[in-house]
Amino acid sequence: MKCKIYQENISSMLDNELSEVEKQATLAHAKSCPRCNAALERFGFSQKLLEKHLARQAAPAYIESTLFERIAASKREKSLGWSADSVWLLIQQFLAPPRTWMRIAEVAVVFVLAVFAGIQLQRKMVDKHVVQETEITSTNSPAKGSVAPVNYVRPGLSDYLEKSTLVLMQIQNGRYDKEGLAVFSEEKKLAKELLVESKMVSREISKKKHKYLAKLMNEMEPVFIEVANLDTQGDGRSLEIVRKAIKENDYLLKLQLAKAMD
Amino acid sequence: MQLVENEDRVIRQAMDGDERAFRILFEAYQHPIYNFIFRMLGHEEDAADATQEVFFKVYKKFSTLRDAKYFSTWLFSIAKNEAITTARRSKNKPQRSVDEFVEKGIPGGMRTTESIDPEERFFHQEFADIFQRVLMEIPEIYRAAFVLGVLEGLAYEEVAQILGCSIGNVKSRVFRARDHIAKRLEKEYAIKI
Repeated sequence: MKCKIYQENISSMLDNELSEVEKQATLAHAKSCPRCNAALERFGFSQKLLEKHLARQAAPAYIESTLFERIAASKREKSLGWSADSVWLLIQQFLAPPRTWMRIAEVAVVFVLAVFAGIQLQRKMVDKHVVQETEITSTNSPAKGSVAPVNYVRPGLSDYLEKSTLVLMQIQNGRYDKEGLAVFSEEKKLAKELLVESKMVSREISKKKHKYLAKLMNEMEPVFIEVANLDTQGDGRSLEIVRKAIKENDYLLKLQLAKAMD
Repeated sequence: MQLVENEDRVIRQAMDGDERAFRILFEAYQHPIYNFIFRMLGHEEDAADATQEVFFKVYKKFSTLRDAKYFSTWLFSIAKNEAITTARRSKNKPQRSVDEFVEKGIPGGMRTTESIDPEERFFHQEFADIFQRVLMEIPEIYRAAFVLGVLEGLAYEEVAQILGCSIGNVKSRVFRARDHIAKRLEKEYAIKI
């Protein structure tokens, strides 16, 4: 072992930090090593000086009175309201709670707040992206008799009204294949889109406070549901029900009025 | 370190807000804490202010102490941090010289040995001053280890917890401080070994 380690051991020995075995080994080495022996004598002498001539510094008496006056003052402050110390202590306790149950309670509160915030964020994200999920591409020249697909970006109220008018007009007038059977595949697709878009449009309507439009949308919703569920090659009875509803309620006229109001 | 009878019980009472229990702890620990801070700072007024601040913080934060058995370690840790903060704030304050001791007599509260011999008392005072000056020559981290481990007699394990280092580090720091002090005292007192 090097002398430096033995000399550290000599220092530790004076503080009773060595085991008996280590102590004996250190003393045995010091007997045979002049440098370590000198260190032992030097340390031993300075230790004796400290023990004989150095007393512990006693705290001045005024510390006690000043301290307890300050404590009394802080108690008075606390009874009146918040002090800077108490607020800081609260913050410290929040960041590092001293008791296990406080830590568990803190984690539980943070978890509940995080879940709530997550739900709110998800709702906003769904509203924003529901339109993007139903995107369709536009064509330049729609085929004869077919409903022109709309170049879809984000449904505003006017787009919704326009699309609704087209769907109802086609249902009313009808399209037929070679064998004379009614074909409503395009209309079904658009009706489904209108049902999805109605949520976003209804928010726009409620912001603008159009009660008439809100009522009209609610009335037309069952019609679009029927259209969306029509058989592709025409369902006689369902088709007649839808046509009757469109005619009796004057939905096409009402849609014209709604467009004029927007 | 335990300075009070049934100390764990007294500490738990103080943790629950019992001011009488806190006062008992204060009376027992004020001198070791003041001594430690004074040895770190070398200035009585700063040490007194820092000691008061330490106990005020202890009073305010008592409920945050996790276990009564860690009380002395916790207390000395607060004292160490307060000493560092105070030292940084008052870097330029001079230490008292031997002449000041002679002019003003024994500083308030300083306890020397029981000797009534004036010459011996003067020697004690002179030695205390020289020792403090030598102590202030040592880097803070060595000084803290030496004061806690040697002057306050804390076990190296406890010193390691207070200073936030290993026992090996404490051993090394105490050695370096002791080595410097021994060499300087040898010079001051012209003792030939």
